[in-house]
Amino acid sequence: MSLRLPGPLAALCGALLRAWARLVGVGALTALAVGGITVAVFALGNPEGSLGLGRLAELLHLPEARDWLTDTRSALEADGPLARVALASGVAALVLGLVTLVGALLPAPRRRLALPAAAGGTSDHGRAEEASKRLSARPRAVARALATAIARDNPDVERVVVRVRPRRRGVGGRALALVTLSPSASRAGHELERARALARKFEVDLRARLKRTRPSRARSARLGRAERRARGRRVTYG
Amino acid sequence: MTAGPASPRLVLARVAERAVAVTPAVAGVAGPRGRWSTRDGERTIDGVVVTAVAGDGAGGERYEVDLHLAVSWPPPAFDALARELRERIVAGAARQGLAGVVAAVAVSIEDVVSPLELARRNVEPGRGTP
Repeated sequence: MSLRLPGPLAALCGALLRAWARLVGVGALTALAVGGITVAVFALGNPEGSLGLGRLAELLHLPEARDWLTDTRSALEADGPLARVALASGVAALVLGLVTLVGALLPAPRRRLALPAAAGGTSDHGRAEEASKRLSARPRAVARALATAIARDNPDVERVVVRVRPRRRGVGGRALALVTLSPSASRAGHELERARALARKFEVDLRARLKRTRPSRARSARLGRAERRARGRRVTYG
Repeated sequence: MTAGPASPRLVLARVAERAVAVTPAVAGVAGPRGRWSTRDGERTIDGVVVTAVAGDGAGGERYEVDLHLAVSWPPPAFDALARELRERIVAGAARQGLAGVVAAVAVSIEDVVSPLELARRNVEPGRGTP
């Protein structure tokens, strides 16, 4: 039996589950980091002093752990198999930490927007036809094109910020345009339609949020409409 | 120009360069630190990367051609543009005696620029770093 949710509800559930998974992941990692730092700080102190692992076990109300730590420390200090295991574990922990650090610092590959390929490959080799149809675009280029489509020939558009997110699989993606209109703006629909038509070329779902700048009487008096046009429009791409 | 016969990889890069040059409203993009360019003796071919790929076992190397392009505003129909470029490259390769070596042609749109900017890039190759 399969449970089918309506589209918007499924999307909402998916978003909530992803957010929850991210939260749990961040929480678990934070707890692990705090625990690790605490143990490391206590491990640096004198074992018998106020800042030793024994003291930490006491603070955590773990008398068995304290006893075990005392025994283990004694075994570690003596030459034997446990000391060798401890050395190997220490080296492995160091390597694992370095590998994790490198993995965390490596820049993530930038996703590209896959575009719908032309019907019928033109490769001279049938097997390679699928590969030969590869067509992609940089999200920033698509954002620039969409922003231009919105702001071009429209003096009422003061600022456009477009963000494009490619789909993880398949062609196309989603785009969000934040459009700031001048207080006296009367229209933006035509430009948005033009941008949507362009977005369809990229298989991008374009959503737009319109905002009007607040009219300032003093400013309006100082700057006429024509003068404001001459100041130019700021168009940014994201 | 380099002395001696050019490698098939270089010949394909030149063919791809010509295909881009004769296609209206596009220009090659060199990419960050010239990542998407091919050295051709003293000069570089911007926006063209040719890579040898595993053969099909029948002998002879095959190559994949990656094109990194800037297109001029308004953006053309990309599928038609890509098809046109592929056809030109495959036909050009065949004319150079390299029929059957083009395994794939991948087209990446790196930038959408004004026609003026595109003309400037075509005149001054190497400017196309996005």
